[in-house]
Amino acid sequence: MFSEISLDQFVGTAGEIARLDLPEACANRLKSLGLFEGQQVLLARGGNPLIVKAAGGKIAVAGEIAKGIFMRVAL
Amino acid sequence: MSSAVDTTESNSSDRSANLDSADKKSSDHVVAMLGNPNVGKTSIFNRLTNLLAKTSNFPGTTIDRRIGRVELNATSTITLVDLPGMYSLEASSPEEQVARDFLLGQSDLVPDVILIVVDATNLQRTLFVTRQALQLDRPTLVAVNMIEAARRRGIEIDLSTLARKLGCPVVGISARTGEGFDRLKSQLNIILSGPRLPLLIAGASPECPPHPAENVLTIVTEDEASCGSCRVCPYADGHQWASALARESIRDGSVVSDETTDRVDQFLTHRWFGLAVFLIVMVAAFSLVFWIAQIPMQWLDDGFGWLAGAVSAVLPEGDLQSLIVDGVIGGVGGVMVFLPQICILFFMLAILEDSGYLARAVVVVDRWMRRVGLPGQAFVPLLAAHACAIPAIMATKVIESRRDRLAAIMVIPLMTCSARLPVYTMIAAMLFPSDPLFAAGLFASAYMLGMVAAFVVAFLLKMTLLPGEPSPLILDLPPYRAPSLVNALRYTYERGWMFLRDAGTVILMISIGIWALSTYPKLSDERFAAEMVSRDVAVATLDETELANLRAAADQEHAIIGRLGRVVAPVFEPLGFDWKISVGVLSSFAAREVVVSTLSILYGLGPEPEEETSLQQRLSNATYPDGRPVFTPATCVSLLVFFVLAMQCLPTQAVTKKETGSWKWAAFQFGYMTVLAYVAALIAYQTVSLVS
Repeated sequence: MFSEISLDQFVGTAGEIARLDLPEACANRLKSLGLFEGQQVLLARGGNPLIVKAAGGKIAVAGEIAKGIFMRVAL
Repeated sequence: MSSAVDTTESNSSDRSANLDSADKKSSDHVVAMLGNPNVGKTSIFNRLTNLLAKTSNFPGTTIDRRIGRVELNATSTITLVDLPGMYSLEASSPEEQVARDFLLGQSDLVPDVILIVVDATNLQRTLFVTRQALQLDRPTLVAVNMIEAARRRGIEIDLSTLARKLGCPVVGISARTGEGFDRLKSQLNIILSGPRLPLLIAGASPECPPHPAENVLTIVTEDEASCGSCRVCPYADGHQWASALARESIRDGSVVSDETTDRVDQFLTHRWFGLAVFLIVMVAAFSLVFWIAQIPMQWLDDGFGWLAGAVSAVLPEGDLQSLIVDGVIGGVGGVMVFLPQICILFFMLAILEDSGYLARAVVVVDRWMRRVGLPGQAFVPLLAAHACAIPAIMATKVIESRRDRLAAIMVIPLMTCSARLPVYTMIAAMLFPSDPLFAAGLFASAYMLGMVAAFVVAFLLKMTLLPGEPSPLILDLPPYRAPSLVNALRYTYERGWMFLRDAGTVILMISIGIWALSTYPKLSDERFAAEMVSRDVAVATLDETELANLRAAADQEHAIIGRLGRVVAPVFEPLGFDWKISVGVLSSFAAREVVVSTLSILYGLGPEPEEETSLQQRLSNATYPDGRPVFTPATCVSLLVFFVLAMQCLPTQAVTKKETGSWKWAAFQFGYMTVLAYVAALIAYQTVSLVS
């Protein structure tokens, strides 16, 4: 069984993105940088802005964005 | 980020058509260079074109592109167009839109070949846009850059596998060492001279057919509800393809180690350590700018002084000599001495950006800047504004949200640009002639006043005209890299030349104008004598010098500028300005540094060229007719405050109009800054007058 938690609440260093709940322009920008549904990401730094690693890149995202990135967590 | 400081001047698009026709011979093939930011496109471009490139704008936009000619061999030459760095071709930003139109042949030049640049040390990341470009179905060549850096890290890329999978030729190159460039050129030549081969579509598989070229770039705007089919989720599809391809093409299989980058980032992006480092870097950079620039500035100053002396010696005394020496050399020279500072500041910015640090600085300052309604991305333009507001306003292109961009553009001219420095220097010299420490403090206060005013205004805009929060930060952090000196120098040269050309011409015209206004109409000898009689001046009792000074003052008051000055003087009187300062302020509304040359002309025109005193001495000795000194501490402070806050730069106004798309915002900027400057200077004058 799986559940979802937003990235700003996420505890741990690695996980999979379950879905993006963000305005389209925002979501598209994240996706072109490699943050999309099903992608495996590493959390390099928490806080605000937080830094994630995915698709060979390193991306800083503001806390408000992180609230719209939902991670898959095992129950 | 890579385009953050990579901007161009406002009016270049007007000339781009001419540039293009001059640059591109009709027989030339056009090659468009495409790739992510930070894959080394600029270095490749510089190496291929031997640094001979022209920066212009895409037609009808302010987005810059660089065009250069490349000799492939003795008989074949191409026109190389460097497109803005981008992560995808969805046309979600103006840069992507322009690049997409260009690649689809909907611009002034039609590309014959697309040269895609990918990063050997990060294939997976940089292959994503490659696939989108391949789906345009045009002749394509892929250059795998930084091949030597990858090798050092133990990454061996199987170029032939990559070529087979991509369905186009692939060349491994290193822009740093020049490795593979001969092959790159010969491959381009083969593609251009050979028959057009059908291109294999990358990533095509039976269950996921390629999208037709015209549609592929727009599909993301479709409904994403049914995400799961590859047609509506091209991102996951593309990234998975890129990731798989990267895995297959890396022969060695060793994992890229970016532990160093991670460790450094832990420190540089830390909430407090990061902020401390940021402040240290900025203070160091600025100190270095002012410290290093002193020497070439002195040379330039001496050079212009020598030139003025030489011209005076050659030309006969008269209007022509006065025009050249006082108007042209005095006026333009006073501004050109700031070229070293502008160049060094841009050089530092280029180095900091290329190293990867600027992106970290944005992360650190974002949290603070958004409190006043500015996004973190506005930090680079605000920093560049300390050299000149024009490239800074152009650099706001990195800010996607219109609200955020407008907020940044509106406050950028409040930052202390180099054009204000002559004014600060002049005032510091008058207030603290023999106290460098206080003079430095005055400089620092002026800088602080500008920054604080910018943040306050940004906050007020957020509360009123531009409501809402700045869009949240999404920023790619490039790996740290040794910055390229050649690229930084090339960039500095471009910026410096733009300053000389654009600022130089405006300032030259204003200087000549001010000279003419303060010289004509001339006062006849009879009229002068009559005037002296009417003022009860006993001319016979004066010595030659006194008489000449009196004559010079009378000449000026008689000239158009003197009459104008008396008309506007009442407006500026509450700020403690006399009519000459008022004229200086008026003349500087076109370009603020002109006030120094105007005051230099107004207080300096006259006799005794052999007993030349410094501007500072002349100003300090200036008095009202009743003997009161003009430049009291209160007047100096008031003048300083006015120049920190006033919008006095026509070229900046033109750029604001161009970048915001309307004169409305340019007029608003001018209006609020002028009112702010006037009120603040008034308060400053009255306060200092009371205290002293």
